[in-house]
Amino acid sequence: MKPIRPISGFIFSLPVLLLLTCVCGMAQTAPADTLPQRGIRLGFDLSRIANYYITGRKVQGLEFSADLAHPKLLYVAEAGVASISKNQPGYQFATNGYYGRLGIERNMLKGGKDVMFFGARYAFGVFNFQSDRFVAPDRYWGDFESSIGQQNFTAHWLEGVSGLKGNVWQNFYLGFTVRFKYRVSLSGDQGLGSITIPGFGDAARRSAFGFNYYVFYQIPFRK
Amino acid sequence: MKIPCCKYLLIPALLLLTVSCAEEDCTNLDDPLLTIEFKTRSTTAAGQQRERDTSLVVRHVYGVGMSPQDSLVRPGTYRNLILPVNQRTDTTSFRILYYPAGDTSRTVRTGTISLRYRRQSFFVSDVCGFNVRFNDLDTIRVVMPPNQSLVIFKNTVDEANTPNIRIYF
Repeated sequence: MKPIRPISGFIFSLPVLLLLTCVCGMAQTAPADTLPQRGIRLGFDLSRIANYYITGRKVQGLEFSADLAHPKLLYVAEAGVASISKNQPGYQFATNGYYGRLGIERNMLKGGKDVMFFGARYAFGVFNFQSDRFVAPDRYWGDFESSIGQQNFTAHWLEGVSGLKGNVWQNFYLGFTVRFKYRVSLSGDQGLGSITIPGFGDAARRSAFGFNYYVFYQIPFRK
Repeated sequence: MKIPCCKYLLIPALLLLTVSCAEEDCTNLDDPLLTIEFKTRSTTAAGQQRERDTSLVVRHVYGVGMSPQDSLVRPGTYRNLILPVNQRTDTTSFRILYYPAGDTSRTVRTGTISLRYRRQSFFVSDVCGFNVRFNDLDTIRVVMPPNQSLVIFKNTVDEANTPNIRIYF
């Protein structure tokens, strides 16, 4: 039996559905087809914290986002760090790394402060993996105990993104991003299996879905 | 206008976090196991070679170096054998006591297959830990009765558990 995975189709379709519902409820307050220049917007990903405390997977991570509106497009940079370690009776491992993304977003709303976007990213991750001790069980020949020294990796991937950034109070925004990620390359030992690429996910898979939930602060822009 | 938007922003976050709590289950995870198939070769009237599955009555199988009393399979008729490879060394030998299905004499024969390979540890998942797969599988010694032959069909023993070796009778 394969490991139980979250229902990726559900993950993908629900936010898109809600996103469209949300957009329908928004009034289009201004006819302008260019984005107002309001200054750089800095974001902090709350879902990394929730992932650590709510799910059983103890991934320590931080992710930050910055975007800048330019006529018709938002230019986006995102960066994060992640540390995963587990110490079980039968094995121990640690993954540490950082990642970055650069991309653009197209706001589908005209006027107002809210943003409903579709966009793309180029992303990379640099990370390492090591296990000081693991036991591969075998009832017939006997258990095999070994270790894996530090292995370094670099990964590159592309993302299609969609989401919302809703203005909630003055210069504060809440927003989510849904991502479809496609891995282009992975350097390093390809046979290590399902290690986690920070910012991407399972290295044994070429594609993955992702979700972030940000709180943003927009630094006021003054001419 | 902002309130509905905020409400909709929160709903997917909560639902997604709930969905992401699903844990993996390792109880039935596939271990890399060696699969040996049994085949016969025949020539058709048109002169073409044809392969067919065949069965062996297996009395006993054990790993050389382990107790000969402990069989890896129950006595019975098999079209293939699925055996554990020794992950502590770079070679494994199996001794098989059998007779072909349909052999009325029921004379037990013995075959020994010695294999070498390159071991590779791999990480299964956070929950399941590590396992070992075996690459570059090759034979170093095969002792079988005459008119039997062995072919490495797939030289990687991995979680896919597809046939690795074919023995022709």
